[in-house]
Amino acid sequence: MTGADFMLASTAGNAALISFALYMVVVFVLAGLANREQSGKSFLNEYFLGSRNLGMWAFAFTYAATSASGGSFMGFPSLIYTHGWVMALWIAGYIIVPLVAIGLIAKRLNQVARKSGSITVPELLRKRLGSDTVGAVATVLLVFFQFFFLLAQFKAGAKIMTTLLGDVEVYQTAVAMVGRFTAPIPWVGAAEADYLLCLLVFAASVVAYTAWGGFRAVVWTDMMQGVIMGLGVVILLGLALTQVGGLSNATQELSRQVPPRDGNATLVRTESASSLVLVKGTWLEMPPEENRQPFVRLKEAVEFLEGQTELSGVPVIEVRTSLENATELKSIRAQVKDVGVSAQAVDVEGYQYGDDKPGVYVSAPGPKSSSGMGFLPIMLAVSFFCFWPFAGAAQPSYMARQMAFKDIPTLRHSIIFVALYFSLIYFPLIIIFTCGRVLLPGWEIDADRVMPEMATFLTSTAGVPWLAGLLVAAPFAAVMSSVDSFLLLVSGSVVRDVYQRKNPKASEAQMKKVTYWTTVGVGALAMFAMLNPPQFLQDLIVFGSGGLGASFLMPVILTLYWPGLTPRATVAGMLSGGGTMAVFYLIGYLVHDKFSAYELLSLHPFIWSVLVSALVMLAASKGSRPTDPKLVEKYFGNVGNEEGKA
Amino acid sequence: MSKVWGDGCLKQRFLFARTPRKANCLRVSEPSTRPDTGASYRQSKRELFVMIAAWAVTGLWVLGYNSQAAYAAETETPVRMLFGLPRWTVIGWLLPLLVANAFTIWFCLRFMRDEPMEDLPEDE
Repeated sequence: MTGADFMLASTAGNAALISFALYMVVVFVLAGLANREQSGKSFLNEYFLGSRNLGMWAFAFTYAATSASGGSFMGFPSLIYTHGWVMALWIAGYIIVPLVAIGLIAKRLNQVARKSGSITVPELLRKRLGSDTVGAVATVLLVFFQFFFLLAQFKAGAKIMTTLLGDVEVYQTAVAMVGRFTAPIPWVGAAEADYLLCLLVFAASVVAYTAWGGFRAVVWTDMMQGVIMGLGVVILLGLALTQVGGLSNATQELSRQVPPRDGNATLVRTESASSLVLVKGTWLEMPPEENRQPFVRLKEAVEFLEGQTELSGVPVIEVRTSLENATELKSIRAQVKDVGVSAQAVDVEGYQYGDDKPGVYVSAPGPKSSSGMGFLPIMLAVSFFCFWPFAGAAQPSYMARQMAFKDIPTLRHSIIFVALYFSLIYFPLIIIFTCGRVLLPGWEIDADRVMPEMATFLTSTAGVPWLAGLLVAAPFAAVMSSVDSFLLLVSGSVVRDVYQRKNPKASEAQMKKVTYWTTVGVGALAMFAMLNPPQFLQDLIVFGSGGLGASFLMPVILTLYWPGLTPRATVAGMLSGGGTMAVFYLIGYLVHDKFSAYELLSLHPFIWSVLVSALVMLAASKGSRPTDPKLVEKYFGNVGNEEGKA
Repeated sequence: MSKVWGDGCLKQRFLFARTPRKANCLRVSEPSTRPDTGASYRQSKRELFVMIAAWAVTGLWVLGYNSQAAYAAETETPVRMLFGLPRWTVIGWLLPLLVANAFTIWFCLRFMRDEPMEDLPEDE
């Protein structure tokens, strides 16, 4: 790193630290104010639903911010970067998500929740169907699948912080201390010290403000986080388009790109008087080919000891840039340093789909390293078009918000706002990170970090490194706004549906104590589970949200819209939906030897799970004990029992 | 007598949104004071069917068009562009997005009905 580079990185790091510190101060001030609001109100109703009084801005922002999670700002950019424009087709269901995911159940859910006085989804199902078994099964499934979702967010939060604070001196000293302290501890010591420290700080802060301020704090911080996310995307888009030389140039260069190849190389050093460390991400230029210029990039740091001239079996990727791609070539060559090392005996393997195939990043099915069918065969595209709106409708964390808006005009205006907000977030994200392939090539070595790296790169190049703090705060805000909601949801279920059921006469002071400690306990458990996280964030997120969708979509829709639904059918529907999803992932694990879904007939397991759930519910409703007619009349009015019999 | 959502109301809402309303139709943004659970349930169900239909139409457009255009784009040299984007993303993604947003605005402002909110149980 040159002196100028160091200054730039240092300025960006300090700016990031200041932005981050300011951001956290505001979050805790909001939590404190929310805590003061709790006095004089029913604790559980206020703590978990904000007294059901959300207005348009609060409801819309909290919904949008919770929905735009770490997946949207970390996993999604990583996938765009890895697979290109096909991600537009992957996320196409979002075109109609605001209308379907909110509109499908929000109105009925809010009405039924108010009528029954429910605070959580399991409680609503239990009261509507008059069955404790329904409530218990719903609680178990909710906590299980939501916990996976929570895990993914913890990993994302820690990853963002490592990038955000990477160059800060105080932080580096703390990392060294944590490394020394944790190294001898089994399992904990296996985690990287920087990740460990960030995970600890992230978990402690988010658990503290969530436990302190409850739902109202979550909603208020969501509003702030929603604004930051929107601003961050708009600024990133402007910077990316300016620096890439316009949209047409980005698309043309992208169309000439071919996927990188993965493997090993032997590094040879011409001079060996002293030791030499090559950091992860170091570029080495190779001899040119006919139409392409190959480069090798290190996937991890290596060290030549004094007197050592050769290192073999070094993990690398080979990036073969088209000679016509001026922006991409310029970007890589700006990072190539003459360190007296060359790569020889490069032994690399191409993607199973897309290797040496220009055009693969601007078309479907998109490149994929592990499958000859490409990233998104058409049947999988159909699956995701169903998945996003309907799995979105069935997420209990969104349902909690849908129970909390104050009236229907709030709902109507919020759907419009979320539709416009999502359009301004997701489409620009695809443009930004396809530009990222041109401006920052070779980040396949750690694709999950591409968002914060892109923010740092764009602002540094534009001469405004202090802006990196704000931009990196956007995905951080997204992660935090999801984590706080999920934490509250899980602790709400445990407190309301388990503890209060067992201790109906518990005093408000006891309930408060149990609520705070449950929130802390769930957060601590998630943090511990994420000490050694799996590689791909998006796989965990899709499993978590898919499992929730599969378990709750049909049961909740039929609970709200079908008077003839029986308690036994509801239990059967939840178990068969969630169980089918888990079985498909288990088969996927056995077949692929990693945590991923088995896609029967190229359809996502969510589709099969919902179909199984629906069929099982219809079959189980025949002949099982009907719901109490008084309950049917209470929730469906005078038409309920007529329709139920029909 | 409680107000109801009859076929006449539906037709009026679809086709004659700016004409005077029938006397027995609830007005948007003016919830009556007393909830009618049955009427509210039926109206919510109508809205549900319209939303599912909108999803299906969007799916037919996006997936139908892109099943040809997006998968054929791989062999196009040079890439076919519109407004600097791959052509299939504009016709098969951006355009349906704009239409879906317009529909959403219409649905929320013109079709979705306001309902009086249920009272909370006394123990709340």
